Amino acid sequence: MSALDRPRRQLRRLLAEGPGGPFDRARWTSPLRGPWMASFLSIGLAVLFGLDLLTGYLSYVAYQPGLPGNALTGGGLDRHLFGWTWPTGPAWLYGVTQGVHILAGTVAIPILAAKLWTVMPKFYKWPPAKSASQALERLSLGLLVGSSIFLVITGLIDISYWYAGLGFSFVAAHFYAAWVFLGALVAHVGLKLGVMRQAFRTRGVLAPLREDLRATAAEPFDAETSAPVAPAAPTVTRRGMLGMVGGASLALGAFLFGESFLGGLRGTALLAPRGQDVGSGPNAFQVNKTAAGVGIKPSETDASWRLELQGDPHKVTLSRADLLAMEQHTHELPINCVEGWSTLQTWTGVRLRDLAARAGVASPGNVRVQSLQGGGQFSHATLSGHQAGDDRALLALKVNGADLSADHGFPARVIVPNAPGVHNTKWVASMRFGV
Amino acid sequence: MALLRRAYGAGPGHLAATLAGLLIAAYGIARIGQHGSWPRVAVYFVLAILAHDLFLLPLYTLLYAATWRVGRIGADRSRRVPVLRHLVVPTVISAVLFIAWFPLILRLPRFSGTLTADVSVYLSRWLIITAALFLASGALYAIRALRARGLPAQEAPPADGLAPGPPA
Repeated sequence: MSALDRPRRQLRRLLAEGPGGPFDRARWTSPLRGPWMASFLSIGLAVLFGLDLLTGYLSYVAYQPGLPGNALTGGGLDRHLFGWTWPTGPAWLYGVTQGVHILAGTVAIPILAAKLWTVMPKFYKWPPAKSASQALERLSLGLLVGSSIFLVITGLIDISYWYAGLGFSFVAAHFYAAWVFLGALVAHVGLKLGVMRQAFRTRGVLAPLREDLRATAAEPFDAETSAPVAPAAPTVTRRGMLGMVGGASLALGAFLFGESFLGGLRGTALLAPRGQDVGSGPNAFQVNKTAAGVGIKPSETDASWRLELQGDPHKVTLSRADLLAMEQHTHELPINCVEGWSTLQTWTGVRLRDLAARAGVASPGNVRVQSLQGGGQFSHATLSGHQAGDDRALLALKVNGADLSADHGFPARVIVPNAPGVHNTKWVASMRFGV
Repeated sequence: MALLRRAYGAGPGHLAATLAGLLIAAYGIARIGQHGSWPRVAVYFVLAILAHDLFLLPLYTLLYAATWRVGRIGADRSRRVPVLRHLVVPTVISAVLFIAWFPLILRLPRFSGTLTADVSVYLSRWLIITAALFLASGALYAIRALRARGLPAQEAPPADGLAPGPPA
C-alpha cells in the first residue's frame, strides 16, 4: 500500500463530491430562491441599468470628446460612436439625464444585492465548469457581477468626493467598466431570456406576489436554476421580501432625487452629496472648486486681469471694464453637474459670438476656453461652434445682478445652455476661436 | 452541429451570445489596459466579488436566521404580531442608507481643498432618518397589536402570513 493512496483517494472524492460548505446545494434552503425571483428582480435591474447605460452614453457625448482637448478617455472606437454634436437645448436636458443616471444607479443597489442573494447558490458550482460552454458562461458571469458592483461603488465614491485610495482615473475606469458590463449583459440576456420566459409562463409575472405565507412554496429543484434541493419552511412571503428590497430602494431615492430640483423639493435631498444648505445671497449656490483650492491668486483677478481673445489673425485684449461696456445679455440658465445635481441662476454677460466678432471671426467655430487654473482636467474646455453660436451662450460677469464671487469664477466665467457643468469654465483667461 | 455540442457543450445560440458579449467586454478591458491603471481596476473587480461573498453572504445568513426566529415567534399564537419584523425592516433600510453614504456620514477623507461644501450635516441627518424609521415602524406595530388584541385567537388573520406552516 503506497503512502500516496490516502491523499489520492481524498482528492478523488473531493473532485467527485465537491468541497462541501456552500458548494453543497442542500445547504441553500431558502424557498424564495428560484427562477421566478431571479427573473422578477432582473426586470427591475434591466430597467435601471438600461437607463444608466443610456444616460452614461449621453453624458459621454455631452463632453464632446471629438473636440481638441475634451476627451477624458483614450481613442479607440469611442470617438466614432460618440462624435455627434451635443445640442444646446433644452437647457435642462443634461440635468435630467445625469439626475436619472445617479438616481437609477443608486436605487439599483438593494435590487442588485437581492438578485445576487437569489442566484448565489449557482456561484458555488462543483465542478466550476464541465464544458467549454460552461467555462465561457462563468467567465461572462464573473465579469457581469464584478463590473456591476464596480460601477455602483466607483459611482458612489465619485459623487461622495471620497477619492481616498481609488488610485485610478474615475472617468476612464467607470466608462470602460461600463463596456465590460454591457458585453457581459449581452451574453447574460442572450443566455437567460429563455429561463425568464419559462419562469413567467409557469408561475405568472405577478401571481407569486399575491401568495400568503401558507401558499409560499419553493420552485421545483433544478440544478440549472437557484431553486433549493431541500427547501426550509418559508418565514416570509415573496411579497414581503420584495417589499423590503423596494422599501430600501425607495428610501435611497427619496433622500437623493431632490438635488436635481429647485425650490422646496431640494430640501428633501437629505442624504445627497450636494444636499447641504448653501445659505442665501446672489452667489449662494453650489461650488465644486474654490478659487483658493485651485490656486487662483487674488492678484491674478484684480483690475490688472485681461481677457485674451485669439482670432485669426487678430488678437484682442479686453479688461473687465471693456467687457462691461459691450452689449450685456441676461439669461436664466442651469449648471448641470455630471454628479447629478443642478442649480438654476440668472447670468448677465457678453455673448460668446459677440466676442468672436470682436476678435474678427464672423462665425465662432470651435472655441478653446482656457482658465487661470494652473492645471487639471478642466482648466480648459473646447466648445463647439454650435454651442458658442447659441444666443444664450455667455461669458458671464454677473450672477443674479451681483458680480460673480471669487469661487464662482470672478472676473468672468462661461455659461452655456445644456453643457456639462465643468465645461462652464471659471476664471477665464483666454479664448481661441476657430480651433 | 452534433460536433459543436460535443466539443463545446451547448448549441450555436449559446456560443453566439457568449462570444458577442465577451467581444464587447474585451474592448472595455483592452481600453482599460491602455490606460495603465488596469492592475488596480482588476484588483477592484476581484475585490468587488470577494467583498460580496465574504461580507454580504454572512450578513444575509444572519438576517435569514433572524427572520427564521421571527417565524418561530409568530407560530406562538399569543403573539400574533411579529415584533422582530418591526425592528428588522427599519434596521435594514437604515443600514442600506449607511452603506451607500458612509463616506459622507463618517466624514472620510475627501478629494478636498477644492470643495467648500460642508459634510458635517450627514451624520445627524442619517441618525434622524433612522430614528424616524424606527418610530414609524413602532407606531405601525402598536396599531397592529391593538387591532390583533380585539380579535379572538382562532379568527386572527395570519398576521401578514407570518404563522409558518409545517416544514415543507
